Amino acid sequence: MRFDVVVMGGGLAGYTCAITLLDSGLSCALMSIGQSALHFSSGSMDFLNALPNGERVYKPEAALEKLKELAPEHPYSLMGAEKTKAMALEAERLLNNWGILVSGSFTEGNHLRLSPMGKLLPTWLSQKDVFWVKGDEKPLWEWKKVSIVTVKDFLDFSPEIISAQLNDLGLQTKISSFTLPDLEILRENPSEFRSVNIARVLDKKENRPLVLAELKKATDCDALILPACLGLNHPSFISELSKELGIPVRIVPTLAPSMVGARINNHLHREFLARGGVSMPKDVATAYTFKDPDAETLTIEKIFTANHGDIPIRPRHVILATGSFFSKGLYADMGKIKEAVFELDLLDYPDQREEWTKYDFFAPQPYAGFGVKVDENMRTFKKGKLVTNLKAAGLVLGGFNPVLQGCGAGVALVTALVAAQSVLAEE
Amino acid sequence: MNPLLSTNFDACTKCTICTEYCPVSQVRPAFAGPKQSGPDGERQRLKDAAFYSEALKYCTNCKRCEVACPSNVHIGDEIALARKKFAPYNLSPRDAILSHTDFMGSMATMAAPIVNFMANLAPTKFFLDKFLGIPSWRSFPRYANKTFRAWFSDNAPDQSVYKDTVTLFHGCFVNYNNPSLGKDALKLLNALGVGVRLLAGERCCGVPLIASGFFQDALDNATTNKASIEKALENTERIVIPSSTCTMTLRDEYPEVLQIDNSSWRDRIDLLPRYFYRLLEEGRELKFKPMEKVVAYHTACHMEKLGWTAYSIDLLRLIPGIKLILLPSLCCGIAGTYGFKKENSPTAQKIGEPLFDLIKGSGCSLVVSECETCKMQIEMCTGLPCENPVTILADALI
Repeated sequence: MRFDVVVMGGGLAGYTCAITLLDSGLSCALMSIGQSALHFSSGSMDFLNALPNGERVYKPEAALEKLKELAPEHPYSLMGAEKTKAMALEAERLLNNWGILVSGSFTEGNHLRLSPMGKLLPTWLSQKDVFWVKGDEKPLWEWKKVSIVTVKDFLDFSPEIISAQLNDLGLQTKISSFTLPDLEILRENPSEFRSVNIARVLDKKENRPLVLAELKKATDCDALILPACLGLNHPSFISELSKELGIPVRIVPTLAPSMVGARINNHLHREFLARGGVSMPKDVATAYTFKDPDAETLTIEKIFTANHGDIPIRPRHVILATGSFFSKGLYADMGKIKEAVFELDLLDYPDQREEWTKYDFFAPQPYAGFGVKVDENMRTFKKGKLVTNLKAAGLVLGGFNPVLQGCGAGVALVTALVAAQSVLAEE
Repeated sequence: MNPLLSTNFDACTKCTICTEYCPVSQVRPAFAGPKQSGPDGERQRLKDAAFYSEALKYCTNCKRCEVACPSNVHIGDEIALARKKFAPYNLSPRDAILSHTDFMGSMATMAAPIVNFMANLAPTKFFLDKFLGIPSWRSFPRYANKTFRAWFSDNAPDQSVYKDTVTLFHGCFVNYNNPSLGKDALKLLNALGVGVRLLAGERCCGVPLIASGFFQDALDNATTNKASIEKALENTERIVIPSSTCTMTLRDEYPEVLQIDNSSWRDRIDLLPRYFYRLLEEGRELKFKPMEKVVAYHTACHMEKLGWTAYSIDLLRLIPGIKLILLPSLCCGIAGTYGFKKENSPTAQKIGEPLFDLIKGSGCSLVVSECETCKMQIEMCTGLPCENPVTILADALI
């Protein structure tokens, strides 16, 4: 099968790169091993929340020079501050163009989002209906009193914990809950009384007025906070509620599955298909060939996959956006870390397995920074040789710790755009 | 074969993504969802068979859970295997009628005009609804006056003039209901310079039998088919199939659910568009006349599982003037015989609603799908024709 581009990986980086390339007129197939880690994401996107030494970042733009000193292999450092900024602004523009409406901006600096455990955490972009507040160390509340309204018996959201945290931060809170007759049938199966299933019920046209009526009872406040279990299939639901109720309504991500994350994934998937992209779900590369394995540089000629058997994919360009360990882009055996598809060159990592992890689970884990080595154009290498038609993007890359530094989404978006540019420059 | 090894159930990380993509649990909460029914339930069933839940029969075997799973757990297989092991024998005459397609098809085609006429009479529908539990509002597939096999042996153009030959596994729908799809396949294969043979003995692939819990009958069919296929492969390179579900069953359900070893020929089973693709890659040609139509491509559940939509999409794009819309991959709800069962039909309709809305809103005048029951469901629920890509390609052939 012939495609201009094959993207391996269906997460934020993979879809971003694929959609950008389709928009430039290239034919594109996207292969994924299963649904992506977006389904566990907060629905907000971080750019850079902390430096490798733990120092908190308020304005990512101002921190890029220092980041380069501390982490020269970080993808932002490889690209340089100017390009990183340009790509960040481009990502903001594209997301909104694609209909993923986000608040926040790279130039203004980080704002604060609310975690499912009620902690205010810095972030770059939040979906418009997600709870966020301006501020860096301290939130700059526009509200005095908020109402937290949950769905009765919904266990993946803890209004009491969130309320206590918000009280400590100077907000008055009130907790209430509601249920609808249609939800009763979901309760027959308590273990699956989860955000996405609830959203499917609440989003129904006939239930929207009932939700509105329930929320009206809690409007003696400046804003309403709801768990993210509505607005999946009808994304403007929250803004419609705000309008009807006359006060801001915001949703907070719940424990997994994350409706706000799944919503981004579904949206990107539809944008991909709408541009004629060919989806290859649940497939994995089993073998590949180079055009001339002994040449100075390598060029991928064919990729064989589990589903396509003896019929190879013959891409002109390949984007590797397979993610990190959890998404199976990287693999650790007893003595070695491997990039799972092409065994690409990785950034240096310790020989001793004991040094890959820290015993304290909450300490920064060294393995989180392992990954594929690239140049500033996201080009990859195998045994020291450049692989001319293979670019990598997202969490499969090394040189950064997305947990400690809060930069996973930013790296995914920015490197995906650079990888796409890199492909287009060669066209 | 050890099912514990083959279903990979201990790889489940409890992430719940499977349940998120389960068409049934979205609309029918009595079904506990794939995670609970599959890997979670398996853990319990291993301890005590009493944990087996009858609600597992609400699974449509669509396999969307397996496609969604990031940890490669064979969730759908696990549910099917649990049903095979624990479900009581199905005594429902209705289920026997719906799932034994060969028996029903051979009887009905003998008197097709009468059967088609009778099937749509109000008293028949009333009887089927009240006494058998087949909803009266549902339209039935019409039976053909002559089976595809009979047409092939009596009327097909001479296939021995072609140097290359391939074996066609036509499937029940082509044989009893829609022989014209089989003729379309023949037309395209002949145009590509390939002659067609049929299997000496072809039985229903078995998927409706698996769905209704007639596992022994499914196994009997699979054993017969395996023998026929192995015999046919002595003389032809490949077996080609028009239907995505038959293809998926022969490739994946035989080893994973029925424990039939197909390892020596699994890779020689092709969906027709995939086989056409091979021939075109060899340099053979198909010439199409323009077709100024907006056509919406629907990914049937088992196409999603096969992962082979690219071949059909690639081929359809060869037709000049065609505007192909790729619909998001959603289940139409029918799931073979599932939607024909009265107790399931509200679920089937609810599952399909988002897809029907997308189709109606797409501005297309024709839907394309490799699945015959998706065709029935989409035609009934959207009023638009739905054809196999093979038919569309054959129509456009110069």
